[in-house]
Amino acid sequence: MEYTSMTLKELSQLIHKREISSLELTENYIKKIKEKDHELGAFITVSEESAIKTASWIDEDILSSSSEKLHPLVGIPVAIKDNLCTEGIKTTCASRLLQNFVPPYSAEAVMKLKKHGAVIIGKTNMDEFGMGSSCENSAFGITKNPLDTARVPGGSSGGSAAAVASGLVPYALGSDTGGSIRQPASYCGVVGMKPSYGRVSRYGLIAFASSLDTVGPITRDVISNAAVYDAIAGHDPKDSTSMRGCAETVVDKIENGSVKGMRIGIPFSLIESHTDKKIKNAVMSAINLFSGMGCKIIDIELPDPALTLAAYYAISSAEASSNLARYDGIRFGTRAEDCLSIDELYKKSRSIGFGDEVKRRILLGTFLLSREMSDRYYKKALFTREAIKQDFDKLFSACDVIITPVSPGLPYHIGKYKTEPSARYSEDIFTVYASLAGLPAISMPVCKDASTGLQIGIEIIGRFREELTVYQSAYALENEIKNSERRCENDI
Amino acid sequence: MKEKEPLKIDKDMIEELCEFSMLMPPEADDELVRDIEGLLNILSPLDSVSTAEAITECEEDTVMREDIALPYCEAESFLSSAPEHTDGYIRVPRTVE
Repeated sequence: MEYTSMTLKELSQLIHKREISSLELTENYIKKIKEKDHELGAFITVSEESAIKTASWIDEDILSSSSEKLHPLVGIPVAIKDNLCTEGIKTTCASRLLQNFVPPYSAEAVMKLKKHGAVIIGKTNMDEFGMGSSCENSAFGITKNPLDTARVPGGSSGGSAAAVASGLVPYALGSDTGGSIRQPASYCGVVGMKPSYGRVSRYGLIAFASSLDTVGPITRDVISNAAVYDAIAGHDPKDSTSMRGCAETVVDKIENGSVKGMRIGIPFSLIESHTDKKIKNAVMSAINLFSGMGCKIIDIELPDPALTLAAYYAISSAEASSNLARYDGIRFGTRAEDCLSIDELYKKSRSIGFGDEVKRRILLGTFLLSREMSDRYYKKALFTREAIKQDFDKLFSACDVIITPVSPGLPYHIGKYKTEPSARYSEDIFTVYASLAGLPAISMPVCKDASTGLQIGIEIIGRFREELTVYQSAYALENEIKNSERRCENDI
Repeated sequence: MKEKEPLKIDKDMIEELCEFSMLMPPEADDELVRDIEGLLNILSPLDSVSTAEAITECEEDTVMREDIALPYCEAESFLSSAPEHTDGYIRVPRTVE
């Protein structure tokens, strides 16, 4: 049986009926990773030994005896982005600086998956410290898009998205600071969710920009995504920014919800001016489907995109320069040899350990936090962020969700921005809105581009804390695409 | 509102930033100067943002306390809690050989 194209729900049913063991499933995926990953580079570490041990334990201790209802993640393998700490498994952040770092503890999101019986199969490739949107900035090689290996898979969670899309793993965890789950999910044709800021604990997530970082799932379908979200969401006293109170479970409510009468905001003029024709057509096809389901389409205007992008890069770079100051070659990570002073040791260790993109952002962040530049850029960026939040509050009084493209164009070819790295930043124009405002946003495939075979995704943004509405609308659209046979074949 | 001059970065400034960031000065200075200028162009829309209102509100709300020095912690009692100390310093295990 071909398990690797199955959704999490289908696999879970097989496990629950004891038609397949966790060990068989895990070995099946490990075999596929060994066969295919050398072409893709989706994994940095495959934790074969510990995965087999865990799967065997689940078969012997849980599946053989338990008669009560089991969690849908029991016995199913998962891949974890390599910036989430995993006890006893190398966590490199795709950086030379942490190439031999084995954390003594697991991130809270990983712990929650473990408690629900998940089997950690490996750690996925990413842009170093989450800085990038192409998976080209990794010390361990480039990840390729499984739909076209000449193109990027997106980033920074490109390894997680590529692994799920190519069937190397049924689901994965990623992290999203300015679009790092949503954009690679869109480029690889899978579903990626960035929850509200604070909904999933950041404890054990290696920090890039602490006020923006979130952890979320990448899956093949919406229901599976919601099941993983339910498992990892919730308050964590170890993360001071974690949302108080219990997170509402969503997976059992998605199928019952109707989108009829839902008000959907579309920034038509922004889409017109900032996307290519294929993307516009894909968004229009989604709008038509929602319209056909009885939703009300409202033309809205989002805050100035250039200013939003500027605020995002100012805040994230400033926070990155501060967060990455801890890597000094003393306590952990790469340490330079033959240094005559402590300053030389710091500088050499950091210079050897960090890649070019990380160094650029550290320098920019340091510059922005200097006395004069702080007033000129950083404080204004914080002010702009608050204004953007208020704008979204107003927009959400007139609509229930907002739909945007995920990216202005199709996944680009590897190396396109090598000589002009800052030009790549404008690719984040649609995803940074939800990041700055802390809102939940899902990326899901809506159609296939006939000429390239690539998938095109859209982003659905919801109100703060309203992940359920986002999932309900995404699920309704996914079903409508399947059932109505109106899936757009974008052949322009 | 008067447009501000776009920021210019030079090699000296890059070296100064490297010093503050605890990084070695790069070998390809020109390339880095160009990259950082590219990044600053992306940030240029922030120049047109006025924070006058926000700053005024903050200033009105901020009440500064009197700057009075109060006894905090005597060195003797602080050092007495340390496992080892010599000449007023706390002794810790060596981390760099």
